[in-house]
Amino acid sequence: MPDNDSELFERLDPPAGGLDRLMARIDALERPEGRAWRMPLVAGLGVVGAALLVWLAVRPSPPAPATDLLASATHPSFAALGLTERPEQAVSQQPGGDGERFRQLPSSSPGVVIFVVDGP
Amino acid sequence: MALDRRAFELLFVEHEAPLYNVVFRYVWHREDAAELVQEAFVRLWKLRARVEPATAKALVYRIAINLAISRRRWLGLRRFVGLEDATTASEAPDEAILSGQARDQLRAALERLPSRLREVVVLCELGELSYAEIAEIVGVRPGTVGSRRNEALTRLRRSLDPPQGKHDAR
Repeated sequence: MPDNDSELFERLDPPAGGLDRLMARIDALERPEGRAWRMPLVAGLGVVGAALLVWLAVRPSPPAPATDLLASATHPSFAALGLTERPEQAVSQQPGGDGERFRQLPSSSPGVVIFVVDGP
Repeated sequence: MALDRRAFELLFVEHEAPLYNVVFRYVWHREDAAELVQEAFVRLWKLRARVEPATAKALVYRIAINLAISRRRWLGLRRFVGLEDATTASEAPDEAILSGQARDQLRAALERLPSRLREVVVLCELGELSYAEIAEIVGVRPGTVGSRRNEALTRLRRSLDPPQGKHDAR
């Protein structure tokens, strides 16, 4: 057993040039080349973001709500009225009414007569 | 105030050797110890914006010890699964440095110490740090550092001193 506790632990010299190696690593971290791996990532994210913006700008608008409610006789509203088919025939036209057309809808409900006014 | 480059370099120059000696007592391999010290300082540099110069020393010691403990675990796992023989270079002490029976015994005695005692005694004997600084690194009160150091040295002496009974019996 050594008499002095300090003799328990022999002090070793680290390899020479430690500071130079360390600062070279630090410089490599600081240089743009040291961060080169980030560039493809940033560029890729930029391209994806731009593509997303372009797609949002030019994407087709969702179909507007049907203005012709008679396009389908199976529409719930018509089914509720008892209609069975789309009316095609104008039953009357008002001469002085800005070209408005009236159509009578076939109805399965007795005593119910439905007229639809088409726009000009 | 963040750690600037000049202060960082001074910290390395001042503490490379003691930190190397501390880490060596964990990994028992010169190249590993040097590489771990470098890695600890690189990590400190990455944290520099959030590091006060006054706390940088304690932080880099803590980082280095954690890295050394992780390396020990990794080497132990490699040996456990058979990827590395116990006598390979990563495990064997540097014989050119730690030669002789006494040093081998010291290493064995250090390895037998509980980690809380080994950490303190290695920092006290090799870290060139005050009790207050070691307390900050270890996360205990300075008084605890002293008591742990005394306990560790007592255990080391007991391990290294040959029992009198054996000599007497011969």
